[in-house]
Amino acid sequence: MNLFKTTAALGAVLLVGAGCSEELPTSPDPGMIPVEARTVEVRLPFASFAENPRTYSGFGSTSDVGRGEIARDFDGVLNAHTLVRFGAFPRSVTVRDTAGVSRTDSVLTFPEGRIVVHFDTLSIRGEPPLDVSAAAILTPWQSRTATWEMAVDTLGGSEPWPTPGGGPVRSVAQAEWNLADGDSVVMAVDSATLAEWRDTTNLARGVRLSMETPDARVRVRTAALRLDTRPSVRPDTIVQTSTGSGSITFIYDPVPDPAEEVLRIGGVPATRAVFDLNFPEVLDGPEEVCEVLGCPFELNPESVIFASLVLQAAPTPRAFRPVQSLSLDVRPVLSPERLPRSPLGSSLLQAPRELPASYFTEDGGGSIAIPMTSFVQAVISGTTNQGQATPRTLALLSAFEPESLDLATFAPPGSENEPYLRIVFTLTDGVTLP
Amino acid sequence: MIRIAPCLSVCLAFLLLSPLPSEAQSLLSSGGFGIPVEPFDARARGMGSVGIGLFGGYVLPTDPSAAAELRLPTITASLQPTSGTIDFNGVSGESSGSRFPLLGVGYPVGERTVATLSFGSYLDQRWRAQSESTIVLAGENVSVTDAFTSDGGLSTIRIGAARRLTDQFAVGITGGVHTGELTRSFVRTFQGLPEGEEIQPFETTGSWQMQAPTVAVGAHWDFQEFFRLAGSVTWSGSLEISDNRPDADEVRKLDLPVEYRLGASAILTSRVSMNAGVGYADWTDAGAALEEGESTGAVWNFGGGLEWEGPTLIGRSFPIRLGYHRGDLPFEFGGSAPSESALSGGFAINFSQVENIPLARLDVAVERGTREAGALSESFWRSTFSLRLSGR
Repeated sequence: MNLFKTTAALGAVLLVGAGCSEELPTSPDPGMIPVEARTVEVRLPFASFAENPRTYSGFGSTSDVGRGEIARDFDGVLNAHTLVRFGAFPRSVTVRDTAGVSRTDSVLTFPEGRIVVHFDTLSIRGEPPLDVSAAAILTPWQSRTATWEMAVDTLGGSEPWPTPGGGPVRSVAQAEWNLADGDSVVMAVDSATLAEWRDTTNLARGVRLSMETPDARVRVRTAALRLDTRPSVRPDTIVQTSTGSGSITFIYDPVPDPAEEVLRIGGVPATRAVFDLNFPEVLDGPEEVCEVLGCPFELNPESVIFASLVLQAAPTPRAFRPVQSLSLDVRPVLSPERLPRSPLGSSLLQAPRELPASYFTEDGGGSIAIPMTSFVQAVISGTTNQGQATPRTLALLSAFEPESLDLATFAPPGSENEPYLRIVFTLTDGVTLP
Repeated sequence: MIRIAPCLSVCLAFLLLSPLPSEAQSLLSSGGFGIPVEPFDARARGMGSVGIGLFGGYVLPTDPSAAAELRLPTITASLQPTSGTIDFNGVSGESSGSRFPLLGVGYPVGERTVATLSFGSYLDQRWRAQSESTIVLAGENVSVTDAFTSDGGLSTIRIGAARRLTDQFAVGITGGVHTGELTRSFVRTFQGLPEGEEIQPFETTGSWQMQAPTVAVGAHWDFQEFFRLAGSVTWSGSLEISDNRPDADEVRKLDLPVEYRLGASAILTSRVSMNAGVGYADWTDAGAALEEGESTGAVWNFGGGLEWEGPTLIGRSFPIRLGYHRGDLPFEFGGSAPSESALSGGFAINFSQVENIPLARLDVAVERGTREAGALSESFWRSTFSLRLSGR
C-alpha cells in the first residue's frame, strides 16, 4: 500500500505541475481571422427614434429641498421668501446657583433672541452688500404646502395668504449682509415676538426672510433662533440657548410654465422631460452607412455595441438658471399610461450625470452624452435580460427631486441642436465552420 | 499486489479534469478541421512509435490487440505538458498547455481475453489569431483589436476486447465514438476612447457538437518472443457536426479517413529491443467537406526507436528509450502541406514488478520537435508522463 501511496502522490504532483499554465498558440496574422467585421457609427435624429416629447411638473415641494431661497425682482421677475418655523423653546436649563450647586430651572424668561441665517455663498446673484429682512408671519400657514399664493393647500382645505407672498407680516429686523463679513447675518428679535413664537399652538408662528436688494437672489442654507434666557435661580445671569429643530421652506413667484418648446428638468416642484421611443426595425440610410453595412439594414441588439443619447444644453432664463451644477438622471417609465405619476425604473446611468451651470448661460451650450447601450439593445430586442417587455418611454429628470429652484434646459426636438441617438454597430456574417 | 479500485479512482480524477483530451499546441490546428492528436502513452512517445507493435501488453487505441498480453487488470493514465515557440511571417510567439491524451483500462476476462476501455484524444482545434488595426468612427481614428479563438476538439471513447488465439497470435477489436464540441468566437475590442464613450466589445460565437462512430481491428504475431509484427485498421464514420443554436437544424458531415498502421518490434540483444512502424490515412474526402482550406490528401507517419532495459536498481529495471518520429498532417496551412518531426527520449521507473509484469510504473518521455508549413515554423518540447498500475 505504501507503494500505491507513492505512485498516487507522484501522479498528484504531475497533475498539479501540469495545470500551471495555458497559452493558446496565437497568430498575429489578420489573414487568419475568418471573420470580416464592419464597424460604423450612425446618428439618428430625434424623429427617427423617438416621438411625443413632453414635460411634466409637480414632483415634490419646496419644503422637500431643506433649504431656502430669497430673491427680489431677480431678473425682473423672480421673487422668493424663505419661511421658517422654529422648533420648541427649551423648557428648562441647568445652572449653578449662588451656592455653586447645579440646579435645573424650568421657570424661564426670554428677554432677547437672534435669528442667525447662513447663506450659500456660491449661490449669490446680485451685487453685495445685500439687505435682508426678517418679519413675523401673521397668518396661519403650513410648511409642507405653502406657496406664494396659498398659506395652506391640502386636500382638507386651502387657505390663501391675505397678501400673496406670505403677507401680511410684521417687521422684526433688517440686516446688511456683506460677503466679506462671513456667510451669515444675525438679526435681533424682541421679547414680544419671542413670546409669540414660544406658543406652539400658534399656527401663524414663523419668520419670513426676504431679500430687500432688487435684482438679487441667494440661497439660504440654514436659519436658527438663538435665545437668551434669565433663569429664576440666577436672575443676574444670562444663559444662551437655542430652539429645537424646526422647518424651512420657501415660496416664490412666478412658477415657470411647463415648457412646450424645450426639454427641461429640475425646479421645485420638479419637472421631468419625457418622450417615447420608436425605434425603426430597418435602417435605410444614410448613404455612408449603407456603403459599409448594406441597406436596408435590419437592427438587431447583438450588433449594437454602443449607444448614447446626446442632448444639447440650451440657455435657461436667468431667474432660474442653475447657480451650481445639476445632476441628471435617466430612467425608463414603467407605466406610461399613468404619467405623470407612473413609477420609474432603475437608472440607466451608473452615476448621476453632472451638468455644469455654465452650460445653461447665453454663451454656454454643451453636449451631454448619456450612454445607454444596454437599454437600446433591450429596446431593439423587445425584452430585458430578465425576459420582461422593455419600457419604451424614457424620463429625463433631476437625480435628486426636487433639488433646487434651478432648471436645466435642452434644445428641443426639431431645433437645430435637437437630441440625437448615437449608435455604433459592428456587423459580421457570423462565425462558421471551416 | 496492488488493489485496482483505488487506482481507478485516481485515473478517473485525471479523466474528469480533462473532458477533452488534446495536447496539440500548434497554429496548424487552424488548418482545415484541426490537427490530429495521437492517443499515445509515454512509452510509445519515447520510442518514436506510431502506436503499434511494441513488446508487451498495454492499452493503446491504435493497437487493439496489444491488450491481449495483459495478465492483470491495468490502468494507464497519461499527462502531457507541452511548450513551444511559433515563428510565423517573422513574428514570434509562444504556446504552452497540458493535456491528458490517454486513459486506458484493461481487464482480463478468463484466460485469453482482455476487455478494454479507453478515452483518448483525436483532433485538436485550439488556436487563436489576433490583429490590431485602426478604424474611423465619426471622423476619429479608433484602435481596435480583433481576436478569433477556436476552442475544442474531438476525443474518442472506446470499448473493446483483445484475445490471444494462440500463444503467438492475438486479435483485438474496439468500438466507440469520436465526440467533442467546437466553439469559435470572434471578439472586436476598442481602445483609446474618451471617458464615457466606452464601446462594448463586439462578440459573435458559434458552437457545434461533433460525433462519429469508430471501429478498430488489429492483430499481432509474436515469433519466439524476439519479434513482434502488428497491424491495425481504424474505420471512422462520417463526423456529424450539428449547430448548437436552437434554430439551426443543418447537420454538416465530414468523412473521416480509414487509418492503417503497421509496426514491428525485435529483440536486438538480450537487453536492447527496437520498434518501427508506419501509419497511413487518406484525408481527401474530409477535405472535400471543408469550406476553408484543403486537405493534404494521403498522409504518412513513420517512427521508430530503441529500448534498453537499462540499469537495475534495488532489483528493479530502469528502461531507457530513444526514438524519432516524422509525419504529415492532414490539412494545409496557408496553402502548404505541413509536417511534424520529433526526436524523443524517455525512461521508466518500475516501482513494483513481478517477473516481467510491471505493477506500478511511471513512464516519462521528452520530445523535441518541429512543425513546418510554408511561412510557419514551430518548435516544441513535449513531455509525456504515464502512470501504469496493475493489480487484482
